This record gives sequence, C-alpha cells and structure tokens, in this order.
Amino acid sequence: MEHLIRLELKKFGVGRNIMFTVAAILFSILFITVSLVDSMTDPEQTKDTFESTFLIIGLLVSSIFLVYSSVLTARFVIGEYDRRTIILLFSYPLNRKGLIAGKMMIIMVYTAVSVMMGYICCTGFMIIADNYFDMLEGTFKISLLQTWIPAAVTAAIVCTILSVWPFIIGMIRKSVSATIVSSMIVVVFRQIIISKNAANRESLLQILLAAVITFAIAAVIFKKKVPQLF
Amino acid sequence: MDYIMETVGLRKSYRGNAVVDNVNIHIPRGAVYGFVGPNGAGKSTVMKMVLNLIQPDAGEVHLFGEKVTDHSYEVFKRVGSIIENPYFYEKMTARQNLELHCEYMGFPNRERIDEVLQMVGLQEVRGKQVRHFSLGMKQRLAIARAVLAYPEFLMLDEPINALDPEGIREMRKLFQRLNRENGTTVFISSHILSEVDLLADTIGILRHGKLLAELPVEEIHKHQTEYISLQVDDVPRAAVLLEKKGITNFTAEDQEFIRVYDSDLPGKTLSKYLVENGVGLESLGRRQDTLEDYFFQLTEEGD
Repeated sequence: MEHLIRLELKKFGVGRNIMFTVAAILFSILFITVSLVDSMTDPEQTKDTFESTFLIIGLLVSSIFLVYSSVLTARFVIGEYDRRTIILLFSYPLNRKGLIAGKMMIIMVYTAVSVMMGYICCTGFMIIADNYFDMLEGTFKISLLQTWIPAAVTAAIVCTILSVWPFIIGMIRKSVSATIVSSMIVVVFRQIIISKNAANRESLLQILLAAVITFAIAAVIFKKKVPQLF
Repeated sequence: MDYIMETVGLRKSYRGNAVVDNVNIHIPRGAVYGFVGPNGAGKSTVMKMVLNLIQPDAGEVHLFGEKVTDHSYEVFKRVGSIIENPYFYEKMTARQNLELHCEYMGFPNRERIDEVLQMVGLQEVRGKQVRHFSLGMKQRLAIARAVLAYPEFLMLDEPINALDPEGIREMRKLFQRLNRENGTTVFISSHILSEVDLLADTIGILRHGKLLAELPVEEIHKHQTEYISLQVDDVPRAAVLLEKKGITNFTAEDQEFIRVYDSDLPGKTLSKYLVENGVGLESLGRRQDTLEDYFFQLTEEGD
C-alpha cells in the first residue's frame, strides 16, 4: 500500500494542492475580515463574539475543503474511469482495489490536514487581528480553546469521513459531475444536522454512526463498483 | 504444446446478447497471432477478458500457464498491451507518461524510454504534452509504452488504426523484430486483413463472438488457389463464351469481374478469344486467394 500511495502522490500534484489550500485559507481570512470590519464600522450592528466567529470559520473551512475534496475525487479517481485511463491502470501488475484505496487515502488525509490548517490559520489571524484592532466583542481567553479544539478536531474528522460520499456517489454513477454535486448536498445535509445540536458540532455518537455507515457502503462500492470499467 | 495464452470456453453477454460465445484461443509461445474479425465481432471484449478488465460469464483465461483470477497481478508484469484506444494522461508529456508507466510496472531502466521513443519515431516530441498529439502519434506512443518493459506477451488491440501507410510498415517491422529478436509473443487484433496476413503466423477468425477458425497462416496459403481474374464489360456474354470453349471452372464475382480457376490457360489465347467474340476486356491478371478471400468464404459459410 505504501508503494501505491507513493506512486499516486506523484500524479496527485502535492505542490498544486498546497497552493490551493493556501489560497482557500487566504480567501477565508479575507471573508472573515470583511465581515468583522463591517460589523465594527456599522453603528447599527453589534460586534461579533469569538464564539460566533469560530462558527463562521468552521462553516467556511469545512465547506470549502469538503467541496474541494470532491473535486479531487472527481479528478483523481472518477476521472480515471471517465477518461478511460482506468483501463491502463488496471493493466498494471498492481492490486486494483488497493490502487483506488491509495488514491482515497491521499484525498482523506489532504482533507483532514487542510481543514485543520484552515481552522488554525483563520483562528490565529482572528486572535492577532483582535489584539491589534479590537475587532471582536470581549478579549481572547485561553478557556475559549476548550470549545475551539473539540470543534476543530470534530470538523476535521467529520469532513474526512464525509469526503468519502462523493466517491460513493461518483462510483455508482461513474460521473464526474455527480461526484461534485454530491459534495454540495453533503455540506447542506451536515449543516442541517449540526444546527440541531446545542454545541453546533456532531456528537460522538453521530460521528461513529456516520463513520460506520460511510465505510460500510464504501466497502460495498469497493467490492462491486471499483473493478467495473463502466 | 506450450501456450503462452489460452482461453477455455470464454463467454460474455450484455443484456442477453452473447458478444463472446464459447471462444477457445490457443497462442503458442513465440507466435504472432492475428486476431481478425469485423468491427463489433468481440475482439476487444476477448482481449479485455484476458487482462481481467472484464469478467467472463463463463470460461477461463490462462496466461503463462496460470489461470487468470481477480488476484492475478504479478502475471501482468510480463504483458504489454494496448486495449481499445491509446489512453494517456493528456497533460503529461510523452516522456512523463512513459516514466509513469515504468513506475507502475516496477521497471527501473529509464534509458529504455529514449530507446522506445526512438523506435516509434517520437524522440523529437518527447517533451510535448500528449494532448497536442495527433491520433497517429498517440498510437505510436501507445506502442512504445506497450513494448517498453520487454514484455514476453504483447497484446495489441487494433494497433495500426490511425497510422499512415509508412507508419503501418514501420510498426509491422517493429513487431516482427520484437518477435524474432526478443522472442516476444504477439497477439494482435485487426480488421485490416491484408496487414494481418503480412504479419501473423497464426490466425484466429472471430465473427459475432464466435471463433470460426484458428489455424496457421501456412495452412491458409496451402489451400489458396491461383486463378485468372478477368475484368470485362459484359459478364453474362463472357460466361457463355467461356462455357462454349469448355471452361466451366469459373465464377462471376460481380458485374465486372470473372475468376477462371483453370490458371494453366494461356492468358493471351483467352483475351484474344473474348475480344474476337465481342467482349470488351478491361484487364486480365493472374491472382491468388488472399486471407480476405478465406475470411469471406468462412463467414459466408457461417451465415
């Protein structure tokens, strides 16, 4: 498996995807800055709190990287079927399911790392900006990390699990567009679920349930759909 | 006999239609096996089943004496192939595509890349992205990729499609050289019968998913008869005249051509006789049945 992952990483284009991560984080910072400056300067609005800004960061970062993970799945996995290069890949002396699993592992690790980096960079920027420009209501206290850390870790884990869904749908349809559209549905569905939770994040039970269902269906897809060329 | 590849009762159906029906192929080690048949005969489907790209409904494939299963991977190290069309990572250059192939095949000799690019005449464009290649260039690159890792068994699905006549000749020479010098067994499918006739030493004829015949080319040539081909302006009149002269072993091919199988007849006498009796003679020549004739004879019998 290590050999397969190393091979696939060459095609993945690590540098290009790091560039995207940096650009997405910068966009998120810009978005949050505009939103905070607006609430600071508009006398009719009250300043945002640290808690509400954490939520915006969470929503933004998870949505961006979840959708981007589906783009990667579409290009890196489903695209092989779509462009028929899968015929070439499956002619090699390699474990075919292992090859696709290797690709998915790269995407899942990339998603987890990007979501974590997004959280850390956006939150770090927000704390520094507040320190200099007093952009938020109140001051930053270490105790706030007690809600921030579980939220960030939960988001990274959940996004990693949910990044498998575009693969599942994409494999069923062997369609690039279905892969990307499914990620948007997943983002909306996740928001509906977590908005009903008091902590605004998934409970441990929900995470476990999502993981079991997702990986069980993915296992069936690996068995039935991965070896099929179309 | 030592078969490098053998299929036993291979069957495949799509929506109830049998596209491959009880196909038993035997490819001896060191052979150049021409797999011929019209488009849609099932040649590509058979080749995909050999590589386990699609699973047969029934039957078995044996490669290097080993049954091909879902877990057969190592055996593909010894196989070079082109299936369907020449597929590539289009944004990569020709050389990068071949480097990637080396990685996947676990083939360490990178110097071989330049060698195969030279063989197929693509050395000059090795740094060009494949998306800028013509179909003929892609076909050449696919051949380079297939032969790169010194395969013992080369499986080529319509490899001369999109090649110009010069390209076809170059590739034929390349396959012949690989077969002669490296002992590579070549399994080549094509619907261009004349080309297969020039290249193969064993022929398998597939039609409507059924293998109609499998035999050495020598065998076909042994049974090929010589004949005189007459191109005339009035076939019925020419036929009557031939019968009058006691020549009965002939066939009218269409509204222009007659084949006279009594090839010992002097052409001069025949032409003079027809012209003197008012038949316009466009051409006269001695010919021999080709693989194409054999193919049509077989397929007509099948119908």
